[in-house]
Amino acid sequence: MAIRIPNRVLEAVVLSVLKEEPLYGYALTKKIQLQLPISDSTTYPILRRLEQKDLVTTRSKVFAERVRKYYELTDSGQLYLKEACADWQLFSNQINALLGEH
Amino acid sequence: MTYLNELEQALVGLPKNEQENIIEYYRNYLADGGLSDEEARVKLGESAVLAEKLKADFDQEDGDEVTTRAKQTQPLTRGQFILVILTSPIWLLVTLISFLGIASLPLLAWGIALSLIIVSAFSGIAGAVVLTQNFWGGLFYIGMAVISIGLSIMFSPCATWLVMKATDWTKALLLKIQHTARRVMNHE
Repeated sequence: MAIRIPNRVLEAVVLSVLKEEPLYGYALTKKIQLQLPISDSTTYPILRRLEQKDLVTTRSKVFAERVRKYYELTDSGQLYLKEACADWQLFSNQINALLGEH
Repeated sequence: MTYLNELEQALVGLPKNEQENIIEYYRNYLADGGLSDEEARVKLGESAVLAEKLKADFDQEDGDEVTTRAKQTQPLTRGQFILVILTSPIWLLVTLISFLGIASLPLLAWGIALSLIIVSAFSGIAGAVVLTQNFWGGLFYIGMAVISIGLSIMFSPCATWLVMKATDWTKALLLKIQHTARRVMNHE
């Protein structure tokens, strides 16, 4: 895809997937990749930022003798998702109106 | 060297806890995806490139962290600068000894491993010769040969490990020197 996805949109995408269920890094990336061609190295920086802003928290679970970190939405994460979603709707409507169909 | 080892080394410069977070994340990522080192290289990109991206992202977002890191490379004050120059005979010597020490450890280890092999060869031959005249004496020498070869087998992984560690230590020491040199050059 030639269009670079803005960070805010990527953050909203991650939050939206995590809203369905808490996931660990690999599963999260694969789930997003089903719809959107992001690279495997995209997810970590986003998760780090979301965690830093308290929009997600992590819960460690032991799996196969290692510790898997599951990321899950916080209340402020829910709120942020709502706002980002509204912003995106507005933005995409504006672009769609300008672009029309060709 | 594995992909994760490479990444770990390329992350030098980031705060320790962030380095650990990244390594922990990608360790699990590779395990969850069942990715080999080669597959990791394809999916995540060369470790050096990935590390640069992670560093750039970290610096961009964390104003606070950047300033604390920048503080570490603050120029020396005049007093500190004079102190560094005055004490130069001492720290130059210490640095030189550290380098020699680091370099001699793996050499020493390989030397021991090699000499054990030589000892084993000689006492093996001696044992075989003596065996015809003195059975118990010969057996003793052959026993020595077996022990030496066993010790050398046990010792060589240790020597290999030391070689790898020595490279890491040298790198770390060089980084420290570079860092200090930069501070000295920038003195007020």
